[in-house]
Amino acid sequence: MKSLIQSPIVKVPLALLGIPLFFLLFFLILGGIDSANNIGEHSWAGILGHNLIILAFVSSGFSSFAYMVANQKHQNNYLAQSKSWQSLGRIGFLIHGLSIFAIIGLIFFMMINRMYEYDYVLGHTSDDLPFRYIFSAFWEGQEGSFLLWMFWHVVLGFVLILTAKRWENPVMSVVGIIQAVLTTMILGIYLSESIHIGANPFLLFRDTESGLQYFSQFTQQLEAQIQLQPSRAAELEGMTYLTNLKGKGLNPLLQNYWMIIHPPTLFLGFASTLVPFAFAIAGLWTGEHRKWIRPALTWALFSGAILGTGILMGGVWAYEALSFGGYWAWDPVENASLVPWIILVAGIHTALVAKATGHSIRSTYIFFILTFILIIYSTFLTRSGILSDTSVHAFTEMGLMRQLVLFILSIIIIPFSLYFYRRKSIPKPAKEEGAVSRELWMFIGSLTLLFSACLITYTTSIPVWNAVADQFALLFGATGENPVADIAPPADDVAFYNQYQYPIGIAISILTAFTQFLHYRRSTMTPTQRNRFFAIIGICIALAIMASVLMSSMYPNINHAGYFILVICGFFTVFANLYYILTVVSGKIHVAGSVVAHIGFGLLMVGVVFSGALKNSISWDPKFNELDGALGGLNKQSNKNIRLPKGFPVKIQDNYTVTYAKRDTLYHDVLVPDGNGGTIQKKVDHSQAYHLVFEKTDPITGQVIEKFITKPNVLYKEQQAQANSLPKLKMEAANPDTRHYFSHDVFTLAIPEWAFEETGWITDTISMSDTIYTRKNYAVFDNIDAQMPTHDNYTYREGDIPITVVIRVHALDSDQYWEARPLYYIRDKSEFSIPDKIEELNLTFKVNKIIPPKNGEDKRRGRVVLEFLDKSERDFVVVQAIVFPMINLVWLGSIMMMLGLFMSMFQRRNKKRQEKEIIEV
Amino acid sequence: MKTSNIIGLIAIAAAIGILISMTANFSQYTNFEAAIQQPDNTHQIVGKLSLDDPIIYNPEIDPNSFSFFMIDEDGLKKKVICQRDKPQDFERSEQVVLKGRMDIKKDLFVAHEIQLKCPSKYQDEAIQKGYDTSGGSKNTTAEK
Repeated sequence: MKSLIQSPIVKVPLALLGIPLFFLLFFLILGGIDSANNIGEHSWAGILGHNLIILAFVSSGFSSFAYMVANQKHQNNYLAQSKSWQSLGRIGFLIHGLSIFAIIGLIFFMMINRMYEYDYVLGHTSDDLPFRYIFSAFWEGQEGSFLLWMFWHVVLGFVLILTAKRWENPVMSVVGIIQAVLTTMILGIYLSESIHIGANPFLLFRDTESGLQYFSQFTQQLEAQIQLQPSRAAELEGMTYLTNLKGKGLNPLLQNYWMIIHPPTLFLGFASTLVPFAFAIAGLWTGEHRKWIRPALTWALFSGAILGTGILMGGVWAYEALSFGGYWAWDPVENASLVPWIILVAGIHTALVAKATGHSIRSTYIFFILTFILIIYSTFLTRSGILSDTSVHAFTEMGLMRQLVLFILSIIIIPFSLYFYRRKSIPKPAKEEGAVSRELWMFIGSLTLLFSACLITYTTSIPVWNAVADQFALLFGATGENPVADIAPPADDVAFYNQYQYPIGIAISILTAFTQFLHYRRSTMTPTQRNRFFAIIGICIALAIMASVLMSSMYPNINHAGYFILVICGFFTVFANLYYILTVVSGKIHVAGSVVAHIGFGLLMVGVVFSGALKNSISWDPKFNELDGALGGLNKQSNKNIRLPKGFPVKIQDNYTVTYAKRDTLYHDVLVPDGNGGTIQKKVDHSQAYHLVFEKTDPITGQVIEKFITKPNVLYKEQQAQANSLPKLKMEAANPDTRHYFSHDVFTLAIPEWAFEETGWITDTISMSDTIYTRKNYAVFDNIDAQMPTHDNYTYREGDIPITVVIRVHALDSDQYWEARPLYYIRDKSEFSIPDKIEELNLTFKVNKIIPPKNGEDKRRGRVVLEFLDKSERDFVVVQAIVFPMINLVWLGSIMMMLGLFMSMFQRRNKKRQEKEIIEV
Repeated sequence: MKTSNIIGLIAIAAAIGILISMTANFSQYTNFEAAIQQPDNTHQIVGKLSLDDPIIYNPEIDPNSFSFFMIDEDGLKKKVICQRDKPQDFERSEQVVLKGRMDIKKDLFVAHEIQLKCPSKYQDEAIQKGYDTSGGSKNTTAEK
């Protein structure tokens, strides 16, 4: 390390660092002199930023080119020339990296200083955005997340410069060119009104369409105001169009810590897939088809672990903090990051085969190239706007479609052309894989993973197929915006994906279970070997069946054969791998990585079945089932809301009773203007939490066997609809709260009454002694009084048929009750109704109609169409509660998979180091 | 014929078979007319929310009943009911995609899923960046 710093290779670029630093200083000084122009804009920041982007673009392209020449010179044995081209490549990349860091630093500076003249700052921060969300605000938008991705590429590039040794030239050449292409996404060069290259994060608000409109309107109004109020002229002239901008801020759904840690992890995962890809290209380029695999494999394990962790965090986020009620919904955006991970895992397995046997080098090339292609494809799907109809969380469209299409096409065509050009020279053992060899079954496993990835991508890409079909139709003379009828995604998408991934889950579990007991390069088994193999498999299957039966005895709902088989397969994987580590490798830790990952996969399968198939909503009331018939099987998820009046225990499913006990208002600190141009800190209420007390009783003894409290909350903002109206609360996000147990979770979500419109008259048809709930009480239809009514607004006339309906309203928490006596009468064959109001409760009842009992029916079967108007203060929440059994297995399994990948990575690195030491000795 | 080639061919054949079966299961966007014609099938219908008609979600009556009127792309308007709560910012949606079936007797569409397309961020911004020159009334630069 020390010698490296002293070497000229590093000194030269350090000296050349002067260039960007000079730029930076120059503009900072300039900024200091004239920090804002006469309309309040800090234009220096934009000029500096845009120049840095151009510098980043040019330097990465240059670096890539220099590395390319260095590699060619090296191949042709011009070693000295290669060395100096390499230094140029390093200088280029260093300048590129520092420019990217400077761009990011500058955007943070602009965001912290709330420079609202810039569209990106205006669109993603606001006056009241807490400081800890500045990072989230930075990568909320497309430009920021591109920069985050590029930031990781730069970091990985630096690591590669330090560690890649002789692979540095070809690998960094690939990294450089990819960085150049990514930089074009934020280049912001306008070729014409409608065609631009990249979206510039330093775009002025004034230069956007809505910004320009705002600016000109503001200027006009300001001039008008100055003429109208000459006394305030001085004050008004001091205003600029920026004065009243407050910033749009960060989407409240994203204001939690997941948004701080999930994107950096996911983007590091995305960025790290570039490294195995670059090594694959380097292998094809240099023709050293075997040697690239070792370093690529270490990086692929790193990438698999990080990308997997990123995806997992997304799942945990969706489950813990969003109101989706689940961790995986097969949303196109989720799929787009899962698919490259699946292919990467396939590539890791073929790389292991290639290293051990020399088989599957070609598939390793294809898998690592495909992984990166799929990362770019996922970028295309989420950022081009093509998914906007089918996904809940794609980025908004930014006019990058053309560029992204070009990028994805070239990233498919160029590497694969290179591959097919080199295909003949890729070595392959003369002997075929034997039928009982480990390499054959690992290859089959990888193909199965490829299969899974194809099926997911095919369905996720439906909007792409629609767009392609339209383009073809246009090519052949069709007209209109949408010439070909669109295919719709499957009507029940989760069921659709599950149905097709189910056999793959089974196949992978079985393969993961037995393949480890096979040996590399073995084409036949002796009878002893065969007996032993089948004995092990038999024992493990028997254990798996026992475990599955045991678990299903706790959850009888699992009796569906399909679920049961998957649970057995999952346990089969777990036991087979446990057996493997305990006997075959007898606990040797240095091969434990794969075993840990495989056990994780088995547990994940079991957890997915239980938490997914047996997930059940407990917050429903069988009274409401009007739609059940019409929807049939599709209606599984409905009936999941229940209204809870404050302080009244409501019986729900599974012997639970839930009480909405109280609500808390929560405050946070925000900076508000103090009127003198400065800011002061002020406590502002921004959310409410609702205490829900759950009690589970034993149905036989009636004893409370379980009791817990959850506190779901909602974020809100005060909004003034009209100038003189009272401010109303506007809900911005509902955050669930989940009670975790070892064996299951109870997920709860609550929405308060103010989020709903005020109610008018409520109608219900009831029989005698039926109960209806009002806001704070419950009312019982007590009886019908046929005596002469004594209602104030009624005077008896000959021939009237008056009926008084007696409603008794009971308090929820005491024995107190009130009586309402609405009157219904028939006069001259017409119906009339006189309401009655209980003043104390602000509760009015009215009889709409009386439906007499049918002939021969009990008199008490007569029904009344009753209406009531409840004007008492509202205090209730609408609650969802869902039980997820065994969800901890999902988390445990996933974490073990990632841990296993990390362990394997460190094992490889240590092995390499040991080998090196042996050579050096 | 080598083993790996055979495996490859089997895999490709299986992949094609499954992709075709998947394609057969993809559905089409239809309209209310088609839903009336085929009341036993699940339909996916794209349309616009009718803001002139009542949008009803009243948890005090039934927290699992939500109804509104939608105009499909051919201009036919139908009442839609869905057994769920009202999605946030429902009124502001530009486009609604329904999945469900027609209930011919009651002349309404029963949806088991509603997907919304909300106005894009930039239009949204134009509405939210309200400004204020005199310290009095608030103007907005709403645009369509």
